[in-house]
Amino acid sequence: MKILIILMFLFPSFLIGQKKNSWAYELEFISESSESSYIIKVWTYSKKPKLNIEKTKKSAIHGVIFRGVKNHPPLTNDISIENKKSDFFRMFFENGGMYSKYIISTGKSSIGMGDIIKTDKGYKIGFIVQINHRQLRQDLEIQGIIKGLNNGF
Amino acid sequence: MNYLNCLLFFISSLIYFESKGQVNTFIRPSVAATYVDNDNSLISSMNKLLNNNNSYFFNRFNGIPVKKTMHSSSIANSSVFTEFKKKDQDLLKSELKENYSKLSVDLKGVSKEMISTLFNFKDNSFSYDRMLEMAKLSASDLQMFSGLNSKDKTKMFYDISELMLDKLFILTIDIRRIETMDEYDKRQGIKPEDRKQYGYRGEIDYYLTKVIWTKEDASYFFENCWIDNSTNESERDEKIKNFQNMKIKTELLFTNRLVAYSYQTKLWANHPTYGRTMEELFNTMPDVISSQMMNELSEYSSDFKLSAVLNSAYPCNSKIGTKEGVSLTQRFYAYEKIQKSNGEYKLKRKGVLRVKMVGDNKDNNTATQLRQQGGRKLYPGMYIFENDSKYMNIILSYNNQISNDVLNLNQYNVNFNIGPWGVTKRNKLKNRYIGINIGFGNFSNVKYEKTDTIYSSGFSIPIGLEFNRELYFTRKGNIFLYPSFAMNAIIVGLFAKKENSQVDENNNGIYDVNETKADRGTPIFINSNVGLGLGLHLGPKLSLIYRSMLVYNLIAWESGPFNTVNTNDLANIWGFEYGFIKNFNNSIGLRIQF
Repeated sequence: MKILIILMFLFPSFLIGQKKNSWAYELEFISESSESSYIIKVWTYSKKPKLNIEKTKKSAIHGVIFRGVKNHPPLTNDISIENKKSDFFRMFFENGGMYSKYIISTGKSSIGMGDIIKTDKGYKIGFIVQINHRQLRQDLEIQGIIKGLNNGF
Repeated sequence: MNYLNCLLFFISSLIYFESKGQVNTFIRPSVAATYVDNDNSLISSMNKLLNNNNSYFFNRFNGIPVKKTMHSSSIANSSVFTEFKKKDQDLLKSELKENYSKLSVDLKGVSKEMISTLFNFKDNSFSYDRMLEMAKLSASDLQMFSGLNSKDKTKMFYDISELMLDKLFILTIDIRRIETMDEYDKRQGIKPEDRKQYGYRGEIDYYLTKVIWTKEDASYFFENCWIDNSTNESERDEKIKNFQNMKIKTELLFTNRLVAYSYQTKLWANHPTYGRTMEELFNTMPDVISSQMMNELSEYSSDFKLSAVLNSAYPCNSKIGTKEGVSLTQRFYAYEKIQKSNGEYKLKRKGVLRVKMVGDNKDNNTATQLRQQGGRKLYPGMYIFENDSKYMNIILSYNNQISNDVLNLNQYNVNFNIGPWGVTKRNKLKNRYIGINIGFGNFSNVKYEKTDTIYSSGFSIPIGLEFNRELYFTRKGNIFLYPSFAMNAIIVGLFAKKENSQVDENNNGIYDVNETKADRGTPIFINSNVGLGLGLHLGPKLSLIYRSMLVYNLIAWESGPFNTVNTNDLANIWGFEYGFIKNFNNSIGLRIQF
């Protein structure tokens, strides 16, 4: 019985914890911008048809670090880093955190034709951002979050 | 332009033919307008005016200048249609097709000329400059952002220009007749003293031909015909020959004959404001012709319908405007893009929008303001598609007079309204309507006079003018206020009248004509009413309107020996007795918007 009560208390907090760490987005490569940056379209999910620019920017940077886009592999293949360095990433992705430094520009908060789609679970919203991936890699390497490209040779 | 760009263009064209989903923008159709020349000086002048016309029709597409003109000698004279009549539609279609078969030989040359114009063929070499310029005109803000921030700044525009190649059309305009209204009236057998208008009338045949640019055509063109600075001298002649021999398919999509008028009533000929000269009327004819063609073409093909994205909601606006030829009369439907569980996409209509103020995106980059007129909540990012509005509506209504006063008649009414019209000083639409009202009502056992003694049965026919306006005060615009003012003449016909009568239960209240003698003649009403209504949009074209009206009737009877009506309201003037009678009227109606 005691175990059951403990589980009842733990279960919702487990769910909340999951929600906090879950990243729901898709990335679509648009074009190379320069040697150090590229343009992607970030598809985020929302219950309302309203663009959350900060959430979109966070998703874009998260995607560049952990998922990668066409011709640009993720900055790390070690997915567990997000949990191992959870303190760093919590601060990194908090509102006004370091993540915004790597967004060079965005599509001026306007949504393009066909970039908002209603699905069974809510709305899928596409937004274009330009990312400085080289600077992001350098800073994460300096802080020891990811390994350098030359590491291992 | 080097081989790399040529290769890039070719690859992008292959990608395009495999998948069309990447570029989301309104791709302006590219149209080459060709004219069938004629020895008639009026037709030649009109062709020149149309060619230089800058009306909204010609703003809607990329005009491709071509030198090709056709001569009417290749087309048989219209034998059947000395006059265009709707009933001759079948004969007209067969004649138009026959004429087109004669024109199509020349059109093959026009399609080739279009391709060489688009790829800027000059000094025996091609370039993409013109295509890229046109693509930039079609690009949305986001595409401009992506394009200009990309390493290869032209790739996005290459993609758009590839889509443009799927929208190549030739519009052939054959003016069969231009005549003055006087000549037209003479042909109609109207006497000179009965001819009321001056100006011009034209009968115009037009043909919309699609240039079919296939994957194979693109492949052949870039491999065997493309010439630029990097092309070897030895290959040039052969490539030019290849292009000359290249066959580009065309297909007739749509053809019709339209009748256009540009005239003025002779009563206003010398009016300082409205009077217009014959020259002015001739010069406005191209606008009439082009707007009629645009209406028909946009009804026929979605390629000619304007589509865009809703950039903001409440206030609603879209970054379209003068560049796309947006006008205050336009109506748009807003659509939501839905992904079904099987992954397929569909568009669902969510609301109706009308242009409130046209944005100047040619010079000032201002967006067009839109006003929602019904539907669900809209949000930025929705598609908006132009939906042709016929600029008129019909209201079918039932009017019920609620007071128990004299001749309180219930009627069924039909209102034909034209609008919306009227603009404010800031060029905003006022949503005003003007209309004609026609009604019918029959009555039985209705109090005929103010004494409680005379009752009557009969029928009434109101005919009049109505002015009304829609006032929106909610965001979604599902309900609206509907103030109105109307003036009607009501003609009343009486079956019978009865003094001191009660309802005749045995005869459904209808009295035998012989039952009593008519005490007075048939009354005539002048009815004026001021109303305030509430409208509810049931659908994009259907609205329910409830109105409460304060009605003032000026009723006139033939004067006679029987004068029992309240003397405060009545007087004997010109052999008539008249009275002002105030009533309250409730009306409920369905409005069908075209």
